[in-house]
Amino acid sequence: MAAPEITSSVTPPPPGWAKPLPRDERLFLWLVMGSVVVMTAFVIGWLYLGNQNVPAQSHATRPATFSAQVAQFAKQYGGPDGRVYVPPGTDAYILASRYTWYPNLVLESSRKYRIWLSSADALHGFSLVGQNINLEVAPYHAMGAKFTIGKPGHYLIVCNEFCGLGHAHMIGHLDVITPQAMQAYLNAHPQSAKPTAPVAPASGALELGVKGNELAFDKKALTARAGKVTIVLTNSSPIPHDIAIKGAGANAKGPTVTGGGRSTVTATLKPGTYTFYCTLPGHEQAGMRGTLTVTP
Amino acid sequence: MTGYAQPLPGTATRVREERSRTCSVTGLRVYAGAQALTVANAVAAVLALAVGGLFGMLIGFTRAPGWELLGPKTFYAALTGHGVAALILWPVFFEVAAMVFASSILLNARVFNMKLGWTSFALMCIGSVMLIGVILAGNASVAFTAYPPLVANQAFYLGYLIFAVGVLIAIANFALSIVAARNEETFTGSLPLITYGVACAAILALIAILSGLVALIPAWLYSLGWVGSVEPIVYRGWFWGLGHTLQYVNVVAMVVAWYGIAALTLKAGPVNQKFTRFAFILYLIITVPVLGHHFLVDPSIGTDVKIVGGTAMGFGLGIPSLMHGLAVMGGIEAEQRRRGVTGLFGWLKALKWSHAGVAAMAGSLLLFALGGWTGTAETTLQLNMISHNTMWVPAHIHQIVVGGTTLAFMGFAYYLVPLLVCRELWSHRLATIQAYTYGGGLLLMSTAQGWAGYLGVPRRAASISYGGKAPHGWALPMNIAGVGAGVSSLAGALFIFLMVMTLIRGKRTDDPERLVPSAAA
Repeated sequence: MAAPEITSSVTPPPPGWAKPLPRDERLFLWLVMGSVVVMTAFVIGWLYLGNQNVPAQSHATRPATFSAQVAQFAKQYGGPDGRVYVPPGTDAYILASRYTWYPNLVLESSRKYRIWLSSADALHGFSLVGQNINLEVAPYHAMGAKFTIGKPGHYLIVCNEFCGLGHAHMIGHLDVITPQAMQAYLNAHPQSAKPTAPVAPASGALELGVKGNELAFDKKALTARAGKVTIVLTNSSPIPHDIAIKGAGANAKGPTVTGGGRSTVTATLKPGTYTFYCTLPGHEQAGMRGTLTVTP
Repeated sequence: MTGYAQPLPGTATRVREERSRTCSVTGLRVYAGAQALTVANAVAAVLALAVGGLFGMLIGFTRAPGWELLGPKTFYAALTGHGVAALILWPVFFEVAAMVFASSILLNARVFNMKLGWTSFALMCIGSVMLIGVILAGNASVAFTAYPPLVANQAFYLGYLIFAVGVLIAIANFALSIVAARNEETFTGSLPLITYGVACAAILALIAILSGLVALIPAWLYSLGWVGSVEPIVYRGWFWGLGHTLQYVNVVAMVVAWYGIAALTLKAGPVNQKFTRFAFILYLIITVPVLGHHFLVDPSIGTDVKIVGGTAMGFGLGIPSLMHGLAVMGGIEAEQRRRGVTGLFGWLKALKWSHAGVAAMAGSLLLFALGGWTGTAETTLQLNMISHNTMWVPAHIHQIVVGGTTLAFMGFAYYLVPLLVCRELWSHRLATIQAYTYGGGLLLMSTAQGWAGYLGVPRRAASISYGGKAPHGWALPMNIAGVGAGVSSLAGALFIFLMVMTLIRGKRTDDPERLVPSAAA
């Protein structure tokens, strides 16, 4: 067979260059176009036949609204260990912010949960390590992702969308327990027994707030008398925070709260200088700290 | 055959445009201005590649858990610099060089307006220096994407905008040069295939830049504090209108480089130009909606839009690439058969495999094909949930942009630059070693990255230890990727060395066989 003619890529093609496609090129085109159609059909078919699909549920929200929902959820189902035990059939919430996933959930194995994800600040990437689930988490949007995790155990959540200098420290925890363990927990902690009204801060407690949506407290310095010192942080920002005291042998911290929640830390302190700060990754470095002076 | 003494930039601006010579290899008329502008842009491109490659090497060594060279602050600055220099500055400077070349030298014509040409070059240089400067100063550690509310110093956005204006002027000058050449009848008939391909790349670049302006102007105002907030998902859409469309500018330019290498070293061209030109047009049609694949696992758009814009269009983009792969290799096969080569694979055996152009092109085709495969996996709605923002994505990017585009540009530069400056490549042998080592290093790195991505290793993290809680299996592939990054960085440095040596020490010659040795054995 004679080799086909070729044309130059560098010079203008000779007149009459626009010849009909030869048979092999036409066949090739039909094959590749056909494969695109077949692959797209698989993707659409899997929406109905497969059990692992990208979440289709999402709605617009605001960081303040979403964090209030998260705060309510964490208060309702929070356990004494700070983790949130989600009874099967209940929607769960995870709020992403620099540099934390809040709260730490406890789920029952082999049960389908819907977890609502949103961000209080920047874009974040929800990556459930070992489960090959990666989702984009955006502020102003909530996405309801359905999960069924078969094997009980501890799972790590890492952030895989660059969100700031502390990005590589942004981890969260998710525990999956057996149905028996979940039942035992729920029996031991009936919901009606939980306090519903906010506990009023003890008199003499030092009041602290958060400056807008920034990573800063509204006060840089606090003063207290030696003895039992209590700091109450009212976190009105959508970004989760906690309050802790360190220095001169002291080391105490309160729970993580968001959306109007209160975090209380109490320590017995001798006269001296201490630091109060937020323990969440990157927050102290960003300026979320102050000096606590304890006088005799 | 008349040469002129000082073809390098700086002096060339003073050379009258009418001065020209006839290329000893192609027989084309080469005007001094066109030559100087092409070389200047190519030199800037090589410098940008050096900067981008250096950042890339530092990133590779930091991401290897066995080393973790840089701390977070320096790492994220390097990450930003790598994206900007290697993904924007290097390819765009090279493409502007290709635009000048394809609209003047290939058409036997002058550049429409040399002042416009040098203005665009100066603006692009100023923008680049601002971008890299502000990154090195540590004031733009926001990653390449810079999603708000992450915010860089305003000079970063301003640098981008100045660079963009420079490119817009270059595109205008390109279009006007073609119109002027047509009016002056310096050529007859249709545009040469390479000019046609570069024109498609220029149109895509125009779309990319307009989308980028919509993303970056609000981000710039936000950095100045003039607007209170920028919605990250909206910014992300417009940003990828820039970011991904620009990658198709790179792909189109890579295909042009394939045809260029085949034409220069083998005198091979496509069997059917209609097929080839149709494939270029397909890029124009399919590239714009394909940015949908960046939204596959986010809450912004509905599943139906994701399937059409992300998945179906993503698959569809494989069509023109496969067509070009067939056409460029088919053209080489046809040319080899015309020389009397027989047998099913005889045309492959009859290639000179110790030829740098063959090495670069083979590596580019192979890595681009691998990248097409990893990209097709990612663009699949359900598989994107597995691979999104894992190391699978850098594996894909490096196979396409570095393995495909950069290696093809290197191979093309080995023949284009000597032709332009009439100096022989400083060492053909080292060039061949460079192309194979670069491709091999990238193959090692991207394969290890893909493996890490499959294990769920996140991209863009300064460290993946997570306080010792990370799975133990993550370290090995990331260490191997670090080795691959080291190998390809060394080979990248060798390319820059060869280019510099050719420009200053290459033997002056007009001999076609020494400027562009044949790749046929």
